[in-house]
Amino acid sequence: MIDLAWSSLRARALAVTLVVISLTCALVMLLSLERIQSATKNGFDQSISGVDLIIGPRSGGIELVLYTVFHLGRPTNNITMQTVDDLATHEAIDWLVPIALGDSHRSFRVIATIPEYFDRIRVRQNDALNFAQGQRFKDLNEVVIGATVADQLDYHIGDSIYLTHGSGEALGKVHDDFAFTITGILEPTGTPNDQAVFVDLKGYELIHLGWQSGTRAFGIANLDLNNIPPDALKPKTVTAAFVGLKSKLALFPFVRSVNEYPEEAVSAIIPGIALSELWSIVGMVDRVFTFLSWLIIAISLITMVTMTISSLDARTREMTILRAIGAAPREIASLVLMEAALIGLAAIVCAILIVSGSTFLAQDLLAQRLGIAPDIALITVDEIKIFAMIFAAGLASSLLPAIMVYRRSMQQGFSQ
Amino acid sequence: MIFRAQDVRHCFDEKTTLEFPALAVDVGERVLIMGPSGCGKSTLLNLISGVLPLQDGHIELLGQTYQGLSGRALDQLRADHIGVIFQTLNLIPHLSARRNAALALRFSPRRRTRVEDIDREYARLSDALGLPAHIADQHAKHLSIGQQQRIAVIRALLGHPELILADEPTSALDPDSTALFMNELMSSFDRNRQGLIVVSHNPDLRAFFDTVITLEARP
Repeated sequence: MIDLAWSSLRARALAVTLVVISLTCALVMLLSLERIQSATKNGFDQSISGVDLIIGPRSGGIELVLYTVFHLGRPTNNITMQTVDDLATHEAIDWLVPIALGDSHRSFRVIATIPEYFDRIRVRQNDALNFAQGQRFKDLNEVVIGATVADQLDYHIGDSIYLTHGSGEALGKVHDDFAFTITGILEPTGTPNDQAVFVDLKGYELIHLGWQSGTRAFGIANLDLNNIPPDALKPKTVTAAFVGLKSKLALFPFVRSVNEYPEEAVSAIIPGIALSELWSIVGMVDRVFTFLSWLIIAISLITMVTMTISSLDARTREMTILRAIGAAPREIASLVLMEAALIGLAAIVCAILIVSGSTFLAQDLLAQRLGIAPDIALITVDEIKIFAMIFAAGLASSLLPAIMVYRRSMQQGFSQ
Repeated sequence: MIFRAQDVRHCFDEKTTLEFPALAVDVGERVLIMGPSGCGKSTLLNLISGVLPLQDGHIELLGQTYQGLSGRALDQLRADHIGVIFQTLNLIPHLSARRNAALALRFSPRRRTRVEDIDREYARLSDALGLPAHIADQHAKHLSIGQQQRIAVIRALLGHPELILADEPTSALDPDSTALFMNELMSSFDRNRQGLIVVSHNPDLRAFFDTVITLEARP
């Protein structure tokens, strides 16, 4: 019977092709959204890993994650180094990496931290931040840059750069009395680390010597770096601190003890929880699009059923002939279902080829520009589920014309 | 005896009941059923072929009585033992002439085993019916009416079903073509194994048949 279904579809090639195209478009839209969404979600969840807690000034978790992980927005408060040092002695803590934010370089955020940052902060599935070239900063005047920074500004190892106070490019705000030398360039990670400039906290403290309320009171150009007392460059405040715990069991007790810290209003947040809260806001747009693609699929299926039903009158003869040669009404009705199945399969195969092909071709672009790494697998288990659903929906909606055919074949004899 | 029908009555609603005369077809027998339009020819045809369920009376084909058979069993009986020819539009337009003819074997393993080589059997019947060989692979929609009717005959004969049932097979043909067609049909059908029932209102056909049964006009 499948050859009859195929032949009958070929006889209606134009209408069938249009239906297949519209169904394919809807599927491609759904599939690419699904892939981009899961890639974005993965990239999003994996922008930071290996960090159990982020300690910062008391504020909402989303806010803290936004500026410490995504370098978006502006910290409202700092926390004192005294508090950080005090918390660092807590027995639950395995490691603690403080960061100070505020400066920028050509609109890329500067993260002032300690060299241990590159050991502790992980991205993706626990991948270390690897160096494409060079190494981490060791000295006050050394700087490490992310892959995007190096790429867009065409920077190389050994180049000198100045940092800008705050995130603006306003004249007179540049720390032009102290140059940093690039010693390392990170590999691309698809995380905000690619767009960051990393300096040592002490160097960061140094360039802010003599700054008060955002303006320079005196320069440090003539400062003798070898004569600075070691304690003078110890920062008084930082923006936040990333924390790793010895045991996950200590997580909630430790969070409580941070949140109840008596000397200063600080809070500890669990990045995963804050990220998923953030995603529930960011992901809304995705859900709207997903809903729209399902709507388009529904419309395409309705088009298919409409086409089938409107062709039934023209095919009454065909049904009668099949009855005459001994086909049961059930078999004739199954012809309609087979046609729907062929249309559905054609659309699904086209959609998989189109999406896989284009993700394959665009994967470098997506990874570099958007920091997302979509699955280039031909098809994933989730997608098989989606296709199975759509396929079933196609067959189910074709039950209507199939039943119509069945009843017609039952009631109508050979009369002309 | 190939086919027998007795005391067959069919009622469409409470008012209209059709009563059909007894009907019997022996091997090699050619039966013409005549009657004005509206006398129930189509209904009788549908009953004989088992498309309409038998309500009252007795019908049997090759000793198998229709009474109590399921729709599925009647479909199989038709596939195996009856070749049907319609008035017009006998063919599926998007299939080739040969594939249209071969449809006859699709639902009947029994008829398929009787045909050793479909292509050769098609060619033999196609020759006997005066069809040019090259139309075998043409789509049915490109064939003339006369050619289409002959392909329908090939379909009805393929695999030697015991009963050939034709509904006004010549109504779309002019008188000359009708005579030619009837001659070809009569010479193609196997008088040693098959029986033929033709329904028509054309009195000119009488000459071709052994038995003529006339249905009364409905009151």
